[in-house]
Amino acid sequence: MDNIMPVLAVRNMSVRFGESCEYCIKGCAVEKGRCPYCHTIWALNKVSFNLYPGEILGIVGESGSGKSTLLKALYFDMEVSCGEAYLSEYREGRENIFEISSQQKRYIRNHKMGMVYQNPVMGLRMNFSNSANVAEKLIAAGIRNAGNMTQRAEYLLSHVEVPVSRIKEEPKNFSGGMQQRVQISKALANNPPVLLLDEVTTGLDLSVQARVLDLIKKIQLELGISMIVVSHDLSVIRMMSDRTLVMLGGRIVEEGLTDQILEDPIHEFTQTLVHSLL
Amino acid sequence: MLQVSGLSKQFKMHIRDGLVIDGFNDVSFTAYKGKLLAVTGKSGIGKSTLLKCIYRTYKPTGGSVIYLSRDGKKVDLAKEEDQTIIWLRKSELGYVSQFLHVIPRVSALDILAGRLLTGNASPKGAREEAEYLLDRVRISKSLWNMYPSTFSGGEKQRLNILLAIAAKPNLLLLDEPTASLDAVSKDIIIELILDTKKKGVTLIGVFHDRDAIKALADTRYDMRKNRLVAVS
Repeated sequence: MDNIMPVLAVRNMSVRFGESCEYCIKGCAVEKGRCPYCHTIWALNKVSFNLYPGEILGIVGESGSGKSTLLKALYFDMEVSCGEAYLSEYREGRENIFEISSQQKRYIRNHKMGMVYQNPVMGLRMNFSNSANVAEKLIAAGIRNAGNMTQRAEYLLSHVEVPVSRIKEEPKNFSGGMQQRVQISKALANNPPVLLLDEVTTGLDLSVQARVLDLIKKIQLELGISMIVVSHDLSVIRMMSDRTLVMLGGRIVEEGLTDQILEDPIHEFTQTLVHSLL
Repeated sequence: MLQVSGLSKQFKMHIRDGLVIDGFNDVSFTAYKGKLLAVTGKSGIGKSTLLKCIYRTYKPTGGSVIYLSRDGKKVDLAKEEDQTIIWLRKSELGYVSQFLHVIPRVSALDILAGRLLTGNASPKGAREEAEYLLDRVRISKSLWNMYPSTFSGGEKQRLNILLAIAAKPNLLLLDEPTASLDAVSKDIIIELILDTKKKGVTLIGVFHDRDAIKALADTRYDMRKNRLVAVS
């Protein structure tokens, strides 16, 4: 029970838009993520946290607090301004993944991390069939055997409850919930140890939302993948995550066990957030 | 087994201009293996707050909760890392609230079997044991494959305790397990708790119900003015 090695360790990760000045670079109080002198926006301001094996880590916060930026920066969709991240499955966690070559970053995206975006258009090619979408990931990982690819695509898509008869269809004809499930199967194509989920149930109706969440939970139990779940829906976080980070203005203002964050919030913002829950 | 010393909890309410609410102050007691320690007192006096501080749903403001884990290590639950608390909750700490919180849209039998499916149990064995347990607490067979959200209050509470016991805890915290139940349900729950005691589980329970205290408690503490006083 002691010294559990984190799967992902993030240290002082910052993403800024603007030149930054002496004042804000020192980490002085930047209200709402914006420097009062040079107007640089600090979307992420020295964020540090650990993700442990098999855990679901929730991230909550208001819109614009930097939740999605954090996931995008981890998945290399966005450049970080400074900071370090170590992935235990990549060179035994000895190398800062923000400083490796773009080729290596591509390798991590294809083998070590999966991402499910809020908007399926970001994660799927809408004009390609569902199986081709999954196959794209497999090809990127170096699998060239068409038979193996089809088999794996079928397995994954049926796992997320897309009927086998419909795997040749294009995702653009699917409903939002189904597209989200195709996206999940694509993200899982190469058995990544870390899965990033960005507001995956936002915009879905309640029953479809429930199905997607059930699926994610099931996958987590079966495969033991570590996940970061970003959501502004506290009920989703309550159901899904073991630990939760609370973000405000690009910083983590509170971190703790999910039930503790929801029942005994310490920070002013977390208290406001929790007491706003219907 | 569990030694609580000088434990206190205050809540600072930022949304009420930093108002500080006293949960309880300077609470000390020791709970022993295979015994049930009952905490009584008026509503709102801080009994549930105490249990939640031990389980770390609330972060204590001061004091310590030294817990002796199964592998013989002493852990201060008040200050331990979140990661260790998660691990302990999964393996040896149990908490039964007044309400059943389970994953929605899963049948009672599946939930219970899932909980029993730890260590080297086989799925079939877990299912059989779940059936045996549900039958034992007299939950009608027709309900086994229903969602617990359709259960009555008494049935929910019986399932709630079964789930906590199924996880084979070493320390079990009970928050009014017999509140608002009919006599039959109450007796079944008392029987279950007695059984758990016999297995050597340390129990701390908040009770209002005199019959339950009489049947179960080995030691009793009364909470008065946010402090804990031993009752002989």
